[in-house]
Amino acid sequence: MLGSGPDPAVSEPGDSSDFSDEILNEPLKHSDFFNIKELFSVKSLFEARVHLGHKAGCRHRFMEPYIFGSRLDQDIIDLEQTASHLQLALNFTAHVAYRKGIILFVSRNRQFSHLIENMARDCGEYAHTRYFKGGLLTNAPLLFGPTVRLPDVIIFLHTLNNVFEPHVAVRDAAKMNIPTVGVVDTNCNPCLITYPIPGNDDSPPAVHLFCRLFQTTVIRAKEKRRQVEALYRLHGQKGTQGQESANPSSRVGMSLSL
Amino acid sequence: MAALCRTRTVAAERHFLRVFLFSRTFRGTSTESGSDSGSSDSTEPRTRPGGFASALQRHSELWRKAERGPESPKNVESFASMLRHSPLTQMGPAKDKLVIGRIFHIVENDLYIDFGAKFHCVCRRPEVDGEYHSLQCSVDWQWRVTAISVAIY
Repeated sequence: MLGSGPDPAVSEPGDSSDFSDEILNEPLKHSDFFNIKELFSVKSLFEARVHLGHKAGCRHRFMEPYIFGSRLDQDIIDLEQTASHLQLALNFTAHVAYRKGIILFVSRNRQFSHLIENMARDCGEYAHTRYFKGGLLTNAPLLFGPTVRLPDVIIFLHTLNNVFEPHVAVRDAAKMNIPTVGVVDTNCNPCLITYPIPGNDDSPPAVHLFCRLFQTTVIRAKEKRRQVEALYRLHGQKGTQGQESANPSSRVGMSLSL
Repeated sequence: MAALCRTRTVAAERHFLRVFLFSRTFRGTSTESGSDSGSSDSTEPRTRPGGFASALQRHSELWRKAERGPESPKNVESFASMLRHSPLTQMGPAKDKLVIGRIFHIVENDLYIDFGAKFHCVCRRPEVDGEYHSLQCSVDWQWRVTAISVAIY
């Protein structure tokens, strides 16, 4: 496609669309393209009190696999499992952000409502921390208009609402085939959530840490996308100017293998 | 002959075990080879998830090891040891214990104090010395503050 040059006028404006497949496939070749593992460690999770759960009486049955044990009637969440789940969830979020997906942060905990809204605004995504009207996801064309784009991933900082019941959006996202990422405490139901992150959602340090992690991931993924697009555009221009038959994807692959 | 065949199938899964078992069979009499087959018998049912599953398991383990890379396991403290040495665990039962907290929010006469547990506590402002940055409070099991003493920093 690049070696031949029968129609240079057509290839120049359509530069990014020519490489869109390669741009989208580039992160899929690496298992940790966005280097998520450097963002956190078990130690940092521990210092943010992510391992503290509720009392054993509040425990949800399906959270038992994620619980390390119970100390003086307080459940302790296993941070080794949390770390691996968090890695998967952040990696998935980064990939969605890279592909220009819409991310919606949902929480109904009033203590952190302001923080979550600010965080979502800072990373250029969306948040919904108010009363969730029924049918917002399931009846969206009627409520918002016929051509409305639903979020591509919904991230729950708190899975429960103010009456300690599962948030309606968890069930509705599952109905609408929207993948969900969620911080699940020991009294939450992790079943319908695609990427559960077992962890504390009540302590301010823990919620601040999760917000910071999600914000950094999304911003990093968008930056990466801009870099990769610029790289491909540069090589595309060089290809059409210099009539080089060398494959740009291999050159890009070499420069991207940091 | 049968003992040698069995040790060879086990060796396919564990490289170091293969070296060890071969050295033992070379030295062995009939009784020692019998004990070898006994030991390989005990290891075999444990390391036999089944063709594709075992291959996938091995592949993913190698992949994960390759990625963990420079991080040496000795420097990394395990979660269990971190938990064991944490102040909250070392404190034990919370009855009649003294904890130091930090005020993170003030609403008129109410102080929101965070002292390192899952939740914070809310106390009334003491009459003496209304201005302060941090204070000591002792907490009982129901997380009710029983006494406040003020330290000004």
